[in-house]
Amino acid sequence: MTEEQLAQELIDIAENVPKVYESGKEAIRTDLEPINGTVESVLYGTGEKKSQRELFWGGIQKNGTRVDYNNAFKSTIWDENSFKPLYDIKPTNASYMFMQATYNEKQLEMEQVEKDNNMVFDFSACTKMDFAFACESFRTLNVIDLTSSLQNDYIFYGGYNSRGRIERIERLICSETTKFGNSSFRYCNGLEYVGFEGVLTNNLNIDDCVKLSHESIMKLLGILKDYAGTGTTYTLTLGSTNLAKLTDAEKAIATERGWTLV
Amino acid sequence: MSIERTLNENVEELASNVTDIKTAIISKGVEVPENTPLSDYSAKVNQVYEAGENDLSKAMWDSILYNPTGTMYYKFIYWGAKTEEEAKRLFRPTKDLIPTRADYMFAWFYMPIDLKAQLDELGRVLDTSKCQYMTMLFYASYIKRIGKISLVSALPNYVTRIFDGASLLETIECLEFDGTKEYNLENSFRNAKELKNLTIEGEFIGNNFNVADCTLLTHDSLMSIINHLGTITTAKTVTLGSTNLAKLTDAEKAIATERGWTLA
Repeated sequence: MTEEQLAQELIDIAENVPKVYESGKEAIRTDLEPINGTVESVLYGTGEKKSQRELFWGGIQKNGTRVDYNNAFKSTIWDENSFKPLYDIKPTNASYMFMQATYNEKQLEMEQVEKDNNMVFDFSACTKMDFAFACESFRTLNVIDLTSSLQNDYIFYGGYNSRGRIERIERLICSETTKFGNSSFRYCNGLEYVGFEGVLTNNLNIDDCVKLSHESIMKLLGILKDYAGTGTTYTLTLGSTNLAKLTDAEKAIATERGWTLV
Repeated sequence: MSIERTLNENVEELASNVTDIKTAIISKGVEVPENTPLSDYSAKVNQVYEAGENDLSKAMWDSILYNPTGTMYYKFIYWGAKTEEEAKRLFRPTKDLIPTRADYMFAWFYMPIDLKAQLDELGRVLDTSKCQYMTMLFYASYIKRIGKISLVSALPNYVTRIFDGASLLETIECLEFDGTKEYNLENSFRNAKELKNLTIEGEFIGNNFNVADCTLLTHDSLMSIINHLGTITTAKTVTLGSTNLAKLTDAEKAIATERGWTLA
């Protein structure tokens, strides 16, 4: 090796030191093995030793087989550097999943978590969602599919502490069997957007969601089940602030389907 | 390197490059003492990797243990590791675990680990002395050894099935009772078939103390149970099972019966 090559190698090593550190933090390769040797051997290794991230999230997620997330992250505190699931989170039970969980510097953005960690949250098979996001951890939620869920009270309850709460729910998918409780959206006074989808067949109370956009309310009106002529009446409690965002013609969308607007 | 440069210039540049490496390593929290030979730097780089791992581990554990003195209900349920080595690398709590509520805390905890040794090594404790709820605390876990489990603050009916199905559990270093409480230990030792060592502190005057499934219990463990039975006026039964009863002399059994207990 010439002196020039040696100098360049030393420069490369110095530049690689931060990468080695980040590798230790981020690695998910199962063949990473910190062994005595070159930077390359440390980075790419030959062994079978699992990284801390693999161990930690593999442990929590039963190496990708966990479906019972009841209480899984209750009373925890997260940021993007620590909430790094290895596998899709596809619960059949998500009761209390993030209840009273909070955040460090910045709330989590669910879609960004999914992109950063190459995973998804999939609630389509989840039957219990009560208190699931009664937390401060997330600013935005991505797809919340309630088509299978039979327990939804307090799902987005915002009454814990006073730091920022959920502001956006990109897609909230309801079905014929979806029932919300009186406190499903209680204290969600920071919620600005909800992409309601599917069909709403039962009472809903969102009167605490005073920042909810007109677009969101219109999406909600659009999924109300049509009970016209059936004699059945359900109540959509928007509250005076949200009602004031609607024209009479818009309100009629609900009333003509047999719903009472409050 | 240019041939016009002097040997000193070359050495100075190389030394500067090594200093850059040293600075980079130190910035990640790894010490590099003066005069560390270049041949040791690969090991230092390995330590940088470990520093990254440790920082991530700490961040994740700090997240999980946001409130280690409150409710730890369900906290480690279903956590798993394939080997003891993996379990030891994974289970690295950054704070003492002092729950007020710990039911199901280690239920289905699939980690073959000596919990006491691991916590000792980390300088951490599991302190249940303030805990009121401990139902199924270690249910169906793979833990091999547990330190002191104090039930002194537990609500008497919230300690059932506490070690039920702990199939690898060999040692409970201490199980502490409050001698004024009538604990209900229903199914607390069911299927704890590897349990050999159990030391009791405080008097037991409660119900459903049944270690019949723990046929490997040592004589010392059985005597610890017997010697800590409180004197009762209404007859109650401690179920040791025939295998364990056979390990005791009549005089030893009499310690229990003279205090009002029936041995089964």
